[in-house]
Amino acid sequence: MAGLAIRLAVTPSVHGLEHVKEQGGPFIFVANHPSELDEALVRNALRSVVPRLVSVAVEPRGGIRGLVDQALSLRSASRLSALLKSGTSVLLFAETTRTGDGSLAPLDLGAAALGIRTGVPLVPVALLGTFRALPPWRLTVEPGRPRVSVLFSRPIRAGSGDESSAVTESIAQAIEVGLAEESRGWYGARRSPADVVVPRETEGQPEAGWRRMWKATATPTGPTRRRVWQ
Amino acid sequence: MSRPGFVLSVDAQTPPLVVFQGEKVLLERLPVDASVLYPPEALQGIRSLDEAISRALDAPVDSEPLRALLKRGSRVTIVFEDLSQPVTSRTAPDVRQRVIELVLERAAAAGVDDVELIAATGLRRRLTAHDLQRVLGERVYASFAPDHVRSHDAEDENLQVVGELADGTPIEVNGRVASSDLVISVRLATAVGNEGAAAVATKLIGAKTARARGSFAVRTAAAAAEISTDAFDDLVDTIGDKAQVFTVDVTLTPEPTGPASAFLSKREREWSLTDRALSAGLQAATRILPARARIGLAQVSGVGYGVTSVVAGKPSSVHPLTEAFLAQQQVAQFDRPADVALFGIPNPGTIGSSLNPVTAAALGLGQIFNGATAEPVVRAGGTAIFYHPLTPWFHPLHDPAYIDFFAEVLTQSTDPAVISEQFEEKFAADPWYRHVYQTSSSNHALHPFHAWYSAAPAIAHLGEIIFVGGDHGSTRRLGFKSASTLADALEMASGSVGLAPAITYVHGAPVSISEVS
Repeated sequence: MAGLAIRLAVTPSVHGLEHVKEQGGPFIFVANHPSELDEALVRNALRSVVPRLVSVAVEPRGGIRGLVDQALSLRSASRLSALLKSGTSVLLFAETTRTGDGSLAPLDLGAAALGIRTGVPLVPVALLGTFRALPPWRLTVEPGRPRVSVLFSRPIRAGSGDESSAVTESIAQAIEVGLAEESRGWYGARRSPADVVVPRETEGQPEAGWRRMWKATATPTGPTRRRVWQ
Repeated sequence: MSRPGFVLSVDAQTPPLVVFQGEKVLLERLPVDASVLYPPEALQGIRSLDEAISRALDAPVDSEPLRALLKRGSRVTIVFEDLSQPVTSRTAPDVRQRVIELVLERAAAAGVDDVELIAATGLRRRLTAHDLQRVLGERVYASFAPDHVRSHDAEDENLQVVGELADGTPIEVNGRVASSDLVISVRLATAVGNEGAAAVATKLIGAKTARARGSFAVRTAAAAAEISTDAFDDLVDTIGDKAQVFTVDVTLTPEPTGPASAFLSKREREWSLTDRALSAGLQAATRILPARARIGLAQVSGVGYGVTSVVAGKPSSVHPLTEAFLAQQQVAQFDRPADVALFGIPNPGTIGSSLNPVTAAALGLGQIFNGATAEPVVRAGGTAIFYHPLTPWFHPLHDPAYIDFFAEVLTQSTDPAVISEQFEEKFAADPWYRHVYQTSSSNHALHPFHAWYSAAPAIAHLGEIIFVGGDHGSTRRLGFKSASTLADALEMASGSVGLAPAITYVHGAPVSISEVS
């Protein structure tokens, strides 16, 4: 039912699920969190692979969701470890803050620490297009079934000898590569970190806020449906 | 280690056995005392494919790791199998995509910009954008389309000469491949349908070279000499002056391992209740559904292939390992060649269309007949009985040369020597066939000729060839006989093999190709 609702609202595409399918769970999924659509999308993508999944955001959630989180003490590392031990996977929205334009904020070290503590593989997840589909100022999804993508990267295994900052760095890098796919394509996103100087759109200066927002909400160009005569 | 193959002697207790007949699956009761050759059971597939591929790429055989071979600024070409090997899954990404993604990730990390992907199609049809996307996945395809991902073009003007065949014909190969610094070849191999040649260049040659190499006279001479030295032996590890070849060989289980069709490769005595129910369902569906819908049914039932091994490295070292591994999956030894052999010819599951009669005959006589065992299962002058409808239907896009071959050539003669002398030149020089080959994904004009030549040794070896359920007209045109039932076929064969012949049935056709090479 939830799957149908998602399909009616957006056009989802899921890639990289085979990395998860091949290994037995549980997993710690670490995702970016540009919109309220994210949790439902990831749950829907994983419904046949991971039977039990709880989601937690680093930034406390408001309303009833926040109360539920509190009641189940989902924000405590020991509680999450216990859940992982019992075979439940965890979806962590690990950004320390929610940015206003959907871009990736620095990640909290907690996700990596949980992975190191439990030895459960960490799966970076990049969510693309969800900010455009449901920006914070809208109550309903943008009409026209906008395209959204859920990209699962290869699982990262962290052991007791690893530094949580280094593991967090590799998770963030995997998510960034996923996010870069939208503008540079699959190969281009993987190719650009190999350059010593990463090309930036503005020399050294961070982009102005309005430009980031403009870009984040721009209608994607290019063919949206498969052309018949090609 | 999987269960080895064995020979079953049919008695009164033996249940009806599965026989493929095009898109149908029959349950046939064989005569008492017939022998049934069961192939060894498929090996377990590798569970963690990413790990297996990474391990192969990082610790290759007789080569530096792939990371060390990929250098910034180098010219890299990735050559991959076309649809002559099956699409390995209907829901998950294809194995080719899995390997290519891992290769490309290493190339990206090394900072390689000049990458091109080429499907090694030989003389087979060039892949459409949709086919390429299905094999490579949406993301890889989108990264390189439209200019840097394509199929090999045997009629291309930019072919490069890299050697000479025994008769002096220059060996022309794909220009991009010959001018690359590194060629990464992604090969899939199954027990049958494996082309065998160690050099990937054999699938990247120009039409003139292919014609000289595959001509009927050369084939006959090679068969007579038995051990032939191939001019391509020098092109195994390097192509041309500088292109170094790194191969990734992946072997697949011989038959689909999907839950719905797994019972077809099991031994009938061991069928569980579920298997029997599935079989009854399949029989009922076959009876009720019209032919076109039955083709769809075959597509649904072949669900996926497991990967049994991944080996990477220097081609001349990897190829023998792959061959040895595949040899384990060959049919069990049998005592003596029979008088009559039975074979089912299935419709390869992933094409979504039926086989044309020429391809079906070439598949039966060229690959199934020669492929299942090291020696033919029938004695010289014996009878082979195949199950296939041989419906005279040709794919309008893929088979224009086959249509004319069937209508114009086979009506004149079925003798390969005559055909090669009188018709091959005309087909090879026809600009229309070249045009449709290059622009609309049809098989090359020489493809039907080579298919027919591949069947020639089996036709020469056998006394009689009978197709059970074969269309009368097209069976006659191919030079064979058609029978409506097995009993009729045995009756027809009795003239040459007697009334009590030794019969061998090669169980389950070990064919897992999706488009016939």
